Order: sequence, then structure tokens, then C-alpha cells
Amino acid sequence: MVKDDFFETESGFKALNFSCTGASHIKNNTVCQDASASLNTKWYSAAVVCDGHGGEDYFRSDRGSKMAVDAFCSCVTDKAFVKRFDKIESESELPDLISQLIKSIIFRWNTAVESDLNADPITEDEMQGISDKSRNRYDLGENLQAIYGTTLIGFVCGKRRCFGVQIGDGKCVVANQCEQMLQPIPWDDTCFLNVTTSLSDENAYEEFRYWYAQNLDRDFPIAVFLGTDGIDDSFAGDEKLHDFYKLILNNLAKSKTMQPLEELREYLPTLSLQGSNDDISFGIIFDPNGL
Amino acid sequence: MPNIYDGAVEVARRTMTLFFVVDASGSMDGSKMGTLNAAVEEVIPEIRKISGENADAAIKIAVLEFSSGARWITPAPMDAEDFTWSFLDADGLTDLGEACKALNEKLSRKAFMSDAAGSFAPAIFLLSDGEPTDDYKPELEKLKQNNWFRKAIKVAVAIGDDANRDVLGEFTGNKEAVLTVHTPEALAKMIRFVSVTASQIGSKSTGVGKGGVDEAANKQDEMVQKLGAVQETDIDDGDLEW
Repeated sequence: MVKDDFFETESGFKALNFSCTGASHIKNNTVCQDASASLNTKWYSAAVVCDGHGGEDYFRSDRGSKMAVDAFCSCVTDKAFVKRFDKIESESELPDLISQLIKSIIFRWNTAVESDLNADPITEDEMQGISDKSRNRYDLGENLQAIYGTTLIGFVCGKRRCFGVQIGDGKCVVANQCEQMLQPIPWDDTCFLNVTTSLSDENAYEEFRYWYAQNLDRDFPIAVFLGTDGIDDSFAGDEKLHDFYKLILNNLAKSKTMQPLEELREYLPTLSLQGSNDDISFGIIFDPNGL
Repeated sequence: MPNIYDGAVEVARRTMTLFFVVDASGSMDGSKMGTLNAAVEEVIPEIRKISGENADAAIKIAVLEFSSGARWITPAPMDAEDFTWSFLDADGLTDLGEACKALNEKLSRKAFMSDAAGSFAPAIFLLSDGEPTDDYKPELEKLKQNNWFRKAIKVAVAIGDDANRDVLGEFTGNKEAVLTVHTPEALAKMIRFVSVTASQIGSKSTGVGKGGVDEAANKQDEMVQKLGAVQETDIDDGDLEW
């Protein structure tokens, strides 16, 4: 159940997240490979959604997506990050902070993967059914991180600063002060149909994209929506996706309670069933007083 | 109480577009075009059924004919439910380059692939009985750079011995995806087989394939395997040879 504390916020924003198992995963009895989290602190609110690649070659990607969520959350709650974020005086300082954050996320995720591999070595059972290409690579101990491969979209919103980071597919939509719906994090054309960039890629740092608000009046969000591709694949194009998010915002603005988000949590399995059939992770950060 | 999002959200099914790219040059006139028209018309209800019963994706159909120039019969991909086959006439040259150009223009998010979110790679089915009469290579090379084309299931049917299998192989990416038929019966059979199989494979979700595994390549491989099996057994029954 979503706690009904609509106006309670320290940072000026509220963040919430949901994940649900996709209809096809339920049908095929496979685990949910998505993970998500949200944080509400006095400095900022944040959300993160991750989509493990799934499939036989990526047989621990359900763990990988959870590790990515944990890596993001631990990085943005790290005292050093919080201190820097709190003290930022100009937007020009953000690229360096974001760059450091991305490096830390990658490092912590890789460390978690390594620990898991040591604590729970890969078994022959798990290797059943993987492609020859991957088996040859894994047998040589090459790029074992791919087994845990995942995407990540994370967003941090404070009173005066906000930014988002992303690797792989899924969509981050910002509703700004001018009532526009935008996807400000640059798209990566490498993410096409079923192919996506991944935290497990050797060049993950270069593949990360990010955005931060430069103009506080124009760019600053009223709400930010994060969704794994299980959401955007359920809509015929960006316009329809934006309509869905506008509907959520309108419902929130009208009700001034958390009830529309509770109903959304209940609705997501239906969205998966009628749309993408895929796992869904959803994150929202919104300004309850700005709606 | 009903959920506030039920019925208020316009959810889309994933789609897979099946492209028929048909040589309508003068040499196709007579029994070749007659058989093709009848066979495609007959297979449409079956595609409609696959689309209706398939939980993974709805199937759309687009038709491009080429002779002296190229022309889209469907202004946009049409739901299999609503699609009816317009009988094509045969006349003119074999401008395969023009067909490649037209296909390249429409295989784009700004054109026929605007339902891109959640779509599957298309299936492209080329039918031809002759040698290209235009300089097709530059346009085919451009088409080969198109991401949608690269990921598509591609199959060609060479109708009779005058069809240039090498050119069709260039189009599909490998000769194993080119079938040769010599009789109306075989053509009808192959149109049915390729249309149905490509629709089934193309619109099927494998649920895997991220992080660099190319699901589309796997689908093309699966298609080629099926073609290999059918080629050995089913092609070229019937009396009339072209």
C-alpha cells in the first residue's frame, strides 16, 4: 500500500517507485528481472529503475538489476556525495559531480557482481541453454559481468538542483514548469529494438548519458517519470507515453492524495498484460505543492 | 471500485510489419502474376488469424510493387484485420533499385515504423522473376545500412530460372534465404509458407536478447532453418513449368 502522506516532504519533492513482473514472465514462470527504489531525504528525493536483460545468456540479471539499484542508492546517500550536492553553488559544478557519481555506480556494481560470483560461483546448471558464443566467453572468464547485465535510469531532485543519469533503454520523462513533457536525457541510438547498452559493458562509463537542469525557471521539473522499457513498449510512440504520464499528474493534482499512485501500482500488471508483456519498473519524483 | 486507469489509458499492442515487395514487371504477366495474386489473397485470412491469436504482437501488412519505378500499394502499414489484397498488374521494367529506395525511405521511425516503441523487427518478403533493369546496387547498399532492414527477417522467392538468385541473395543477406520455384503450384505453396512462417517467427517474443544478443539475427536464422527444411521436400510439384 502507498502511504497517504501527500504533502509531507523535506526536500520539496516526493519520490515513489513500483516494480511488477511482466505478463509473459508470469506465463513462462520466470522471475522479475526489473528492480527499482526511491529515496526521500532532507536534501533531495531520488528514484532509480533498472531492467535486467533477461534471457538465458544473462541468467543472473535479476540479481544484477537489484545490485544496480543498490549501487545507485548507496552512491547518492554517500556522505561525500550528499555534502557536495548540498554545497553546489552553480550548475557548472554538476557535470563533475555527475561524472564522479557515474564512476562510483559502475565501480560499486562491479564490486557487488564480483562478490556475488565469489560467494556463489556459476554452476553448470545455470549454464544450460546459453548460447555457444556466451559459453565460450564465460568459460574463459571473460566479461562475466554480462551475466548480471542491466540498464539503469536514476534521477535526483533537490530544491535547487536536479539531474538524471541513464545507461541503456527505458525512458525518463520530465514535466517542467512550462507544462512541457520532455525526454531531456539524450537518447542513444545503439539502443534499438532488443539491443541495449548495459552496466556490464566494458565502456559503460562512456555509454552513460545524463542531463541536469540549467535554467531553474524553465527547466526545473514539477515531476519526473522513470520507466523501464516495459512501460514505453506499451505505448504507440512517445506522445501516448506522455499522455499516460499527464493522466497520472492530473489525477494527483485533482486528488491531492497518494491514492492515484496506489491505483497506479495496482494497474501496472494490467498495463503489462495489455501492452508490452514485459516486466515494469516505474519511478516518480514530484513536487506536491507545484501540481 | 474500478481502477481509474482502466480504460483511460491508450495501450498499444506490439506490432510486426510484414512487407510484400513484388516484382510487377512485364515478364510477370500471365500465370505468374495470376498465381501470385491468388496465393497472397488466400493467405491473408491466415495472417489475420495469427495476428488475432498471437498475444505477443499484432501483424501489419505493407505492399510495395516495382516495375518501371516503385509504388506503395498501402500508404501505411495496415492491420491484418483491415487489409485486403489489391490484385496487381504486370507491366514495365524491373527497377529493383527504386524498390530499395522506396523501402529505405519508409523503414524509419518518421515513416512506416512510427509505432517503433515495442515493435518487432519487420519481415520482408521479395518476389521477383527477373534481372534488375536499373542500377540497383547504390540503393541496395544504402538500404543495407538501414537498421530496420538489417534487423528484418528477409526472404526472397525467385520465380523461374530467369530470376537472378545472386541479386536476391544480396537483398536477403544470404542465398539460403532465397527459394526458387518453377511452377504455379510451388509459387502458391511458397507464398503461403513464407508469409505464414515469417509472420509466426517475426511476431513472436523470445523474451531474451538484450545486452548485445541480436534477437533479430536469431529470428533470421530460425527462418532460414525452416526454409532449408521445406526446400528439400516441398518445392516444385505441378506440371506447368516457367
